[in-house]
Amino acid sequence: MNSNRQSLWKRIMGVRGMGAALTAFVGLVIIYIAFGLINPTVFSGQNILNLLRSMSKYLLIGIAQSYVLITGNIDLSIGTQVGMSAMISATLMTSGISPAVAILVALISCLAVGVINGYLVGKFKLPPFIATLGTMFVTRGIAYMVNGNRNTDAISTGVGKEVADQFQNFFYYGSTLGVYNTFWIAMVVFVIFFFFLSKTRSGRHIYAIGSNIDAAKLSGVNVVMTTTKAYLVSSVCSCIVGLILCAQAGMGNMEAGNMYEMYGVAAGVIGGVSPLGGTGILLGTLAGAAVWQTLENGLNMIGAQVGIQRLVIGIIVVTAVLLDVVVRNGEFGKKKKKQS
Amino acid sequence: MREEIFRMERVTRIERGMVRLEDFNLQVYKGEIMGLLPVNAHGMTAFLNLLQTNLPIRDGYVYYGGGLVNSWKESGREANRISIIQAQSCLVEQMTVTDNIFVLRQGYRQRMIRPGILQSQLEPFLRDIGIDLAADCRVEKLSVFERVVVELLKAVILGYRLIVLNEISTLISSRELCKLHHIMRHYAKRGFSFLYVSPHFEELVQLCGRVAMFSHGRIQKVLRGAEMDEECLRGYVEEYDSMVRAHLESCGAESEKGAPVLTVDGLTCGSLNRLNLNFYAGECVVIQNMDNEVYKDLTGLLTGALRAETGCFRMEGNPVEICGNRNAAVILEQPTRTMLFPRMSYMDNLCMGLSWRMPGVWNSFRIQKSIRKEYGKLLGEDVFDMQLEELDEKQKYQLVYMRVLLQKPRIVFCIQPFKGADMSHRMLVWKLLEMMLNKKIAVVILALNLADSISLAERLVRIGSDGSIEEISRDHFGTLSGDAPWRYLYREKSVKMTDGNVFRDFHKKTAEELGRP
Repeated sequence: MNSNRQSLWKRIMGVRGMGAALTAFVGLVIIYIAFGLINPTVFSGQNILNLLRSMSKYLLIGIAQSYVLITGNIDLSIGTQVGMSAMISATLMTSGISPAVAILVALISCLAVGVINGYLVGKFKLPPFIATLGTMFVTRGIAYMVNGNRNTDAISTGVGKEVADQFQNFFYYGSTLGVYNTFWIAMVVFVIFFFFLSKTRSGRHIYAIGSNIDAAKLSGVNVVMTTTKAYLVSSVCSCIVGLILCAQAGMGNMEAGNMYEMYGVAAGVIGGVSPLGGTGILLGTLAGAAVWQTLENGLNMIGAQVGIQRLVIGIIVVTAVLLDVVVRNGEFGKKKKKQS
Repeated sequence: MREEIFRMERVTRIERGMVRLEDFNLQVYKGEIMGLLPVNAHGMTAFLNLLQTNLPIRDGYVYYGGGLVNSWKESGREANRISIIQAQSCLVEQMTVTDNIFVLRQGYRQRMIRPGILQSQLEPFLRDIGIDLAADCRVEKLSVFERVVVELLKAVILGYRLIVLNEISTLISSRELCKLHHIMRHYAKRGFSFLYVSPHFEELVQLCGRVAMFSHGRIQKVLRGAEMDEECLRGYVEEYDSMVRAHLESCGAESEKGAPVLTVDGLTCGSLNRLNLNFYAGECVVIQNMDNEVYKDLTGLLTGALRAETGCFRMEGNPVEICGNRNAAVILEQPTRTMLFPRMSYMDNLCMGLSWRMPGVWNSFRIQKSIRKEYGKLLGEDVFDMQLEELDEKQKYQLVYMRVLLQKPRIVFCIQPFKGADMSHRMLVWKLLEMMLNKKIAVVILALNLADSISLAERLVRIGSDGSIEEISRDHFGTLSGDAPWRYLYREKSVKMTDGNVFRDFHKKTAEELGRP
C-alpha cells in the first residue's frame, strides 16, 4: 500500500511542470494568509467571491498564452483579440442583434485571427513575436473601426434591458451555487482545455513541437495544424474574456484587453509554464493566475499604491523565470553528477 | 632525434568528481600525423578541452612547443595555440573568409580593413594547396569541406603547431577526405603536426604514422609501423568483430524480394538528377554520397526541408512524402541529441510513433502498462520513471530506436547512424538496426563514408556529384577500396564462397598479401 502511494506520488511529481505548479500553490497560500493577517477582510466571503471572479479573467488569458508558450511560441495579439471580441459583440448587440449571434460573430472573428496566427507561424515560419505583433495591430485596428473609432453605447439600448441583463448576468454578474458565473465559465474552459492538453494526442503534439520541433516533424506531427490548434485555443479564450469584459461594462470599450497578453505570460510563467516551450501544465497556470490576482487584491486591501503593485508583480514574474532557468541548470548538474 | 611538439605526461583530470583522464600519456612530434582511435569515448571531451585550454589537472604535466604549459602544481587556464577542427565550426558564419582568418584574431592591430590586401595575403596559401576558394565569400556560403579547409588555413596562418581534426570523415565525402589528407600531408612536411581523431582504424591506417588507442580516459597502446594491421585492432574490437561475422554468416543466399516497399521515382533536386531506386522489405541499403551537396539534398528531401523538383517517392505506386509519413521513419544523425523530446517523459517519447496506431495511448493506463511490461524487459524497468536527462547515452539510443520500432514503419532512413558514437554505442546501434531488419523493415543508411554501415548492408549505392549511380552488391564488397571498414570480412566471405573452405583463416591471407611471414 505504502509503495503504491509512493509510486503515485512519484508519478504525480514526475509530470513536467508539476513541481512548479505546486510551488505556485504553496506560494498562493502563503501570500493569501499573509495578506489576511494584515487585513482580515481578505478572508471575508465576499472578498473571496470577488477574488475568484477577477481571477477567472486572468486564468482564461493564462490558458490562452500557456498553450502558445508550450509550443515554444508567443501570442501578442491576445489582448487585442479581447478588445476586438468585446467591441464586435457590443456593437452588434447595440444594433439590436441577439447576443447569441453577436457571440458567434465575435468567436468566428477571433478564430480567424487564430488561424492566421497559426499559419503565419507554423506554415510560413514567421517569428511568432513579429507575426502576432502584426495581428495585434490589425485586431486593435478592427476593434477601433467596428464602431467608427468610438466606444459603443450600452448594449441595453439595442437588445433591450432584459436581454442585456441576461447577457451580463450570464457572463459576469449572475451566480450559480453562490459563486459568480465568470468563475464557472473559466472552470469549464479550464477543464476542457486541461483534458485536451494532457489527455489527447493533439495535446502531446503541442508539447512535442515545443520540445523538439524537428523530431516532432519526423515523428509525423503536423506542425502547422498543431501550431494552429494552439493559437485557436488562445483565440477562443481571448474571445470569452472579451465577452466577460463586455458584460462587465455593459458596453464595448475599444481599449479593452490592453496588456492582457502580458498578464497571460505572467500567469503562465508564475505557474511554471516555460517560455522556452515544451514544459508546463494548466494546473500551474491556474495557480499563477490565482497568485497574480491574490497579490493584486491583497495589495489593494492593504492600501498599496498601483506602482507598488506593479513592482511586486514584476519581481515575482522575473523570479519565476529565474527559478525556471535555475531548475533547468540544476537538472543538468544533476545529470552530470549521476553519470559520475 | 625527432622534435617533440606536444606531450601529456601522466595526466589525470577529474571533472565533477569523475575521473575523465587517468595517467594519460601522449606525445606528438613535429611534422607528424598522429591518429587517435577512441575505442571508448569516455574522457574524449575532457581531453579535447584540455588541449584547447590549460584546465586544472590532478596529476601530470602538459608540454607544448617545448615548454611546460600546464601541470598539477599550476594551471593557468590560458588557451593553447592548438586548433580543433570538428563538426562545430569556430568560424563566424556571417563574415568573409578573410575576415575570419585575419581580422578575427588576437594581435590584429589595423584600424582600417582593406579586403583587397587581405585577399592578396590569402591567395598564396590557397594556391599552395590547390584550392579554389573566393576569399571574399561569406563562410555560410561555403561547403563543409571548404569550411574545414578555411579552419585549417587559419590555424596554419596563425602559426598553430598542432592541429586536431575530430571525426572529419563524418562531415565530408570520401573524395573530399582524400583532398584533405593530401593537404594535411603537405603541411606535415612543412613541420605542422596533426592529431587525427577517427573511430575507424582503416581510415587512420591510410593517413597516420602512429595510432594511439584511446579507451576509458587512457591511451591503451600506441601502434606504429608494422603493428598497424587489422589483426592488432581485432583484439580491441573482438566482440564487435564476432557480432558482424555472425551476421554475415547468417546471411544466406538472396531470397525473392517481392515488391519494393519504397520506390524513388526519377527524383530531381539540386545535385540529384533523376534518381531511381527500389528498396525492399528487410533489406539494408547504404547510400554513399560521394559529394557533400548530394548528401545535403537527400537529407533535405527526407526531412522535408527541400521539395523535389521532379519525381517523387512512391509507396505501392502512390506518391508519398517521407517526412511525417507513418509508414516511413527518419532517424537523424546523432539521434540522442536530435531525436528526443527532452522536456517530455520517457513514456511520451517512446509512444510518440505509436499514437498513430493507438490514439488512446496517452490516457490508457492499460496500454501504457502493457508497453511497460513488454519493453521493460528490453529497456529496463527503471527507465520509465526516469527523466530524460538522467538517461545515459545507451538508454537514449535505445529509446530513439524503440520508438521507431513501435511505430512499425515499412522503411527507416538512418542518417549517419554511427556518427559520434564510440565502439560500444556503435555496437548497440548496429544491433538495433539488425533488430529492425529482422522485423522485415527496410533500412536505408545515408552515409558520407562507409564506416560500420557496410557491415550490415546488402547493397551499396554510390551517388556521384554528377548524379551518377553505382550499385554494388554484398558479394562485391570485398573489392571496395582499402579504407572501407569491415572489407576483410567480405573478402573472407567471398573466399569461403569460391573455395568452399568455411573457416579459412583470413589473417593468413592478409599476411600473404602484405608479404609478412
